[in-house]
Amino acid sequence: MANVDVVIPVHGALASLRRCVDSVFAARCRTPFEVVIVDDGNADAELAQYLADLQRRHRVARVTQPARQGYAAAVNRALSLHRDRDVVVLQSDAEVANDWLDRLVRHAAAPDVGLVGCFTDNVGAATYPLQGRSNPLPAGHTAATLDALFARANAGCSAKLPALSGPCLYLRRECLNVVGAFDANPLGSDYGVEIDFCLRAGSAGFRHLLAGDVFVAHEGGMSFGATEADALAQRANAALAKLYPAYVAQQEDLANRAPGRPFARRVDLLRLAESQRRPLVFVSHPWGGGIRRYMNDLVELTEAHCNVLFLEPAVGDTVKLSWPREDESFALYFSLPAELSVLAETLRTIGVERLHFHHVHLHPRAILELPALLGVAYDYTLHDYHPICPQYHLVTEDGHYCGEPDAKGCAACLARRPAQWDLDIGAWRGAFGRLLRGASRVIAPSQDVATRMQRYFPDLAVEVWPHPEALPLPTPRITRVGILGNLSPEKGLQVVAACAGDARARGLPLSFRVLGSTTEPIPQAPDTPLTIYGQYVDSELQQLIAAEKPDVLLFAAQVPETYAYTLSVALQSGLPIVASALGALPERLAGVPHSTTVPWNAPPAVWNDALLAATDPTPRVSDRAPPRARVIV
Amino acid sequence: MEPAAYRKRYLSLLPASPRVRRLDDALPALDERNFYLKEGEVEVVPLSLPQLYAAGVECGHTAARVELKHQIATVSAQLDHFRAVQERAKGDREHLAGELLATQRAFLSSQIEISDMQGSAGRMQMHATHLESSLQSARDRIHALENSSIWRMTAPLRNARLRFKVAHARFRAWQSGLRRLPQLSAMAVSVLKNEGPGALVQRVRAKVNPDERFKPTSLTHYRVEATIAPLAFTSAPMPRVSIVIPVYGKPLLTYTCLKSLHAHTAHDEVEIIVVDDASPEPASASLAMVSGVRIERNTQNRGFIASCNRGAELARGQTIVFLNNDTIVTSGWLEALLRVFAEFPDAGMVGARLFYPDGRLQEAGGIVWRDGSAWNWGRDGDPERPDCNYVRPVDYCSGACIAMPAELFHELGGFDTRYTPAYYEDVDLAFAVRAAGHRVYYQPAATVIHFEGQTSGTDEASGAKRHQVANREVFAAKWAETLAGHRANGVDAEFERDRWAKQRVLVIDACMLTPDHDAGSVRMLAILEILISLRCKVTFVADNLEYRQPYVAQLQQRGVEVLFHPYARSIADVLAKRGAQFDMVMMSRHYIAVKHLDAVRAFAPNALIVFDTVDLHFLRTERQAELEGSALARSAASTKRDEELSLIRRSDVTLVVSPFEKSLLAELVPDARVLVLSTIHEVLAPGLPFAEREGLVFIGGFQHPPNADAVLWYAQEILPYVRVALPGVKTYIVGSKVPTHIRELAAEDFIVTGYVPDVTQYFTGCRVSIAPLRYGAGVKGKINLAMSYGLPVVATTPSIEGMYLVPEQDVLVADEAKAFADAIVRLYHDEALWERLAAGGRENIRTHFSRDVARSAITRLIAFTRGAEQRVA
Repeated sequence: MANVDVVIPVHGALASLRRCVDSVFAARCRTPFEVVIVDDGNADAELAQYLADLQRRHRVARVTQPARQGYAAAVNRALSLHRDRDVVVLQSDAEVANDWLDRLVRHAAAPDVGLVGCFTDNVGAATYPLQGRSNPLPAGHTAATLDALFARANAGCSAKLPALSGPCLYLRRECLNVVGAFDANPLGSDYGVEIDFCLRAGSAGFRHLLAGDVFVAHEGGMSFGATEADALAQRANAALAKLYPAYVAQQEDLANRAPGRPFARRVDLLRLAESQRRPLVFVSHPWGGGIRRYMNDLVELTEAHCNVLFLEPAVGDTVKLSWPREDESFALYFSLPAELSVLAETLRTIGVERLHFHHVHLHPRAILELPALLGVAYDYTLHDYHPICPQYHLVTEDGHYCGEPDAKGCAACLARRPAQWDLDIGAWRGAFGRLLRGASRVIAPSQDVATRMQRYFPDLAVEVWPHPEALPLPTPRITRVGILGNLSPEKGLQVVAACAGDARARGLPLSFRVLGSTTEPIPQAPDTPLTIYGQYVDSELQQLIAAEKPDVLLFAAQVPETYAYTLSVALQSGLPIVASALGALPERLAGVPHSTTVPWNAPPAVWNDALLAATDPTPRVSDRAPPRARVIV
Repeated sequence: MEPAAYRKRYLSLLPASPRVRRLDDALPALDERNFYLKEGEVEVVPLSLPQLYAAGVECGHTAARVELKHQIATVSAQLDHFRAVQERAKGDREHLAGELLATQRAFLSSQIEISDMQGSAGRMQMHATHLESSLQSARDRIHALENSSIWRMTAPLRNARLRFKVAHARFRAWQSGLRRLPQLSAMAVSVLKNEGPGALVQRVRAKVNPDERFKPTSLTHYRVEATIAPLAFTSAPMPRVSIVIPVYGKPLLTYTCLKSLHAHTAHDEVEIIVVDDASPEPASASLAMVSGVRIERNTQNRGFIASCNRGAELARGQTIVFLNNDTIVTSGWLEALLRVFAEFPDAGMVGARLFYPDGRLQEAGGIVWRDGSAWNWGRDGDPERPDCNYVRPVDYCSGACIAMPAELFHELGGFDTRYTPAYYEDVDLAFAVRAAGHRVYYQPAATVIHFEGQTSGTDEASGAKRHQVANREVFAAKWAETLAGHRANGVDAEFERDRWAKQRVLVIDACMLTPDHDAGSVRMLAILEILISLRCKVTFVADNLEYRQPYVAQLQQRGVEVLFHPYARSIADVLAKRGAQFDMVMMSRHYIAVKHLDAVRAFAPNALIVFDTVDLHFLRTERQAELEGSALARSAASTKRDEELSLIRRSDVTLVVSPFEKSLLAELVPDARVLVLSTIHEVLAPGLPFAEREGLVFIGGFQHPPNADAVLWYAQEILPYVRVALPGVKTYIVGSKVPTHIRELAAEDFIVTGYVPDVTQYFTGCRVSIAPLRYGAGVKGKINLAMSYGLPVVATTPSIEGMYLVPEQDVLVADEAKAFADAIVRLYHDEALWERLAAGGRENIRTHFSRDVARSAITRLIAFTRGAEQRVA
């Protein structure tokens, strides 16, 4: 006789349901169970046929709601079918594997347990690899292989949570008997009913466990439409906030210290330990700059062969070991020197074969002992002069090259600006000398660094490898468009903005430069190829034009100009001019070489084409025969 | 360096092949602090606005500019908020300043008043002194006056004044009540209009009478008597009941038990057999002061079971009660136990409600689990809990006090000696009773105090435990087949408690059932009884949660679980806690259904939702509206109609009382499942034979206008003919609330009885029943009542509408006065016709209004429940 009902409320999506049901029957569980399909008023004939076939093949109880009554009602109906059994509520787009149910049952055997939940990839109290995100399954994994990892990594482990949600929830009958049914009424929809249930159960003295050793895959996103889901979630959260203020207050804390995190980390460890890629550890400071670029480039270059982990200072004496991938959240913290051996053991578990030092700024001193403790070879790339100078850039307080004084000079400098780890210059260079000499390769990106370093460590072998870099593309030729004066809507502000947008959209070699200011905000670089010089003094406009060297000047006036002083300056510059055929502009440009007039209300593409035509193929300042004025109609 | 070349060089020290590695070692022992960065360590110092401005605007950092923009928006919003707060504060300040001023003024004027009052206090002191002296002189004068003769003569007048004063006070109270009238009267009028005056009276009574609420009784502590005093039982020559008490030592306990028996048992019906299991001091000696009790002594100690069996062998009564000597019985205990055998023919054993000496509940029936372990239901709990106080079949009852027919006991071979010395013999016997096709009942009305664990004197505590464990195994093996159907220990105890029930039904009605007051309660009570007989566990709750006695106890004695305040806090509370258990929820009357239907749907997902209309309410309101001809009443009626039809649509099954209503609903709500469940009448024993009967009878309350019309018509137009043809034959007019103009018609042969508590004699003694109704509708109680007694009826056509009656076969029909009188005369003389109509009427009751008809309707109703559907599938 079955002890557990596996309740699958069905709504649409036959393919998912089929996979879900197949996975339930394929799983090898000792716990006797019965599948209960709740057909929540689905009129679909194909689905009905499938359910009928299913009932022929397997022992499946089927409950049919006369009309669609929603998730809570469907679950309630199923909950009361066999009143002596525990229940697993499984979403119809979930996929289970291995002996999943047996593991859940073991957790449920503990006293006072209300619900048991598990890990999933999408939508739930505990998601993997990233918590609180919709994750794809990690490359090379299926629901079954990942579940097996969870089972190995966290056998029998669980964590207490105030509320559970997710594609697979195990509900104990004892809890159901005390707490009653799912209740969608206070929340306004089925959204969050399980949370409400958990919290009610919690106040009745039950605790809820997240099983660390079970992973159930979940397609997700099919229960509600996306926009509808937002609205429902908001409503439900508002209701929950009202009903359980303490729970909501807990949320942020839970997000920061997700109780399931250790389980996810142990699975990460297993994955890293058994990955075909060889693990490398980069030791570095946590800042950006050239070092970060170099490390990122190396990560990308070695991606096919290596899993690169970063070891960076976190806070105080803590270092952070992490997997710098957007789709992973592996991160462990070690307080050094106390936990140096734990760090080493962790790296040994992962099977780290090499270390690579980039920088030890802000690291605890014990980091220097890691290679010896771990017994692996390591590289050291010289990104600056840190091994010889604690100020690492050979720089004085006021930002000059210090000229590499003698030991006395260095001691005076360190007296004012003490070195990391409080070492004197001798001890510093001694320590770094040992580190460098122990490296299997010391890499310098330029001969100069190598030479400077060898001045202090004469016996040190330094390999000079310029950083990996593909040759940059040839510099493109860009037409610089100048707009003179205070740019207002009347003067064509929207036209200029639209032209910049069009240039961006079509990838035109145009760059707009407002020589002046604008009367209202306008999209700028890096969003569009437009920058603003800012306000200028009238008398200096000609110098400004000379300095900025625009290729063409644009007058996109949207009202009939009566004269336009700035046009006089433009004419004076002899640069090509593109202007609206409106008001005084065409009149004043009549017969002016390199000038083009465009209908004032022309679309931006026409303006841009005119700008490009005005400068190309004509060189900047022509000494050929002046071309005639052009009029675009 | 070219990236590909760099990669090659960089990776040259690593093996080129993919790694193959399986981790067999344990993962490192990581700690909480390895997973979470310590809190408060990451300190983010936000940049100030000027810093952001410098970085974003002056130095050109895009991110700083974005942050600046964001912060400025926030600051700007905060600024607006502060301005608004400032504005409000300004307003508040002005307001408070105003209040302060007003308070200061009030304070000043109070000071002035105080000084005024201080002045007047002195004046009043003088005034009081003056009044005191006037009072004394007035007293003196009264004294003189009372002794005069005029005073005595005017006494009646003064009494009248007193009466006036009382009347005046009552009027004042009435007047103050009148002020609340507008709210109450609207409700009252609607009740009056829609449910009739009876309902109004009932509602008002329910409102004003606080006694209808449950009041917990204070716990009594029971003690063992300190000394043995003389106690004499009169021995019954022909005892109905034999009470067997096995004892081993402990004479004070036995005496305490016997003393309670002496106080609470009818001596002439019982014999008491004390079986002394070879106590060190013989019971006959220790209980020498007790007489009239048979004391039998075992020659050697044979254990509890053998003693019980020996006592049973000696028993002469047809019922044996096994009673432990560490018990105290209470008032009515034996009657309650015996009543179960009378009321429930399938009862093979009945047990009592056991208390601890401190008044806590010890057992309200027992549950035996699959592994043979047993629970005492309600142990240590509140003995008044609803779930512990209805008669119900149980797995077993503790042997401390059980009653069973002697014949059955002997047939089953008594207590099984394989359990010797004790433990599980009572459970085993209960199972044997059940296996033999009987039921074991728990009777909450028999309360027995049990000093548990003080009986088995020969066993050491450890020894007792050992027997208990060993006997459980023996028991579990013996009854393995039966126990396979039981649940595991602790699972779904509420279901195991009522193992006998196939269905669980919740019935919600407006008030507690009062079958001696109204026909609706009679019908509902019959429905509940039929449900129970069909193995439904019935839970009844009145919408007002009242605990009206003796009605609650009556229902509980019939096997109905009755919920009431404070154990049920509201109907919604009941549904939320227990809704999922029910296979059927029946709501009686539309105003109850409309109140609870949504909650029932939500909380009782498995239940068949049954709406018992009692009568279709909208029909009556529509007819009333037509009579009144008011547009408002019509629109109200149409709202009622929509409401009621919507209830019918939303219910799974609707119950109506007549086929007419059913056919009406078939038109209005064609999809609804409608069952007819009419009024329920028993076919009763026939009264006197034809020849010995005399007189005519009319029955009907006069608050129902058609009845008054009928009696008037009979008296004025029919009776004259009857008097001529049947001189001296009396007509009895039976019914309450007789109007004066009818009472005045009374004559020697026209007897107006008024309200009669028991109307049986009129139906068993009169020869003809008359129903001269000229209008009206629905099922006629008066005709069914007469026919259920086998009394033929002369009726008009409107009286027999919808009653399935065939003229000349079941009833005589006449619509003219002369013809009506002729029919009476004919029936009065024609015995063959009389016998035919009597049989026809009975048959009609049996076919359409009997309990069997109702039972088959309810059987159909149960078949609609989901549980039943699943079983069929």
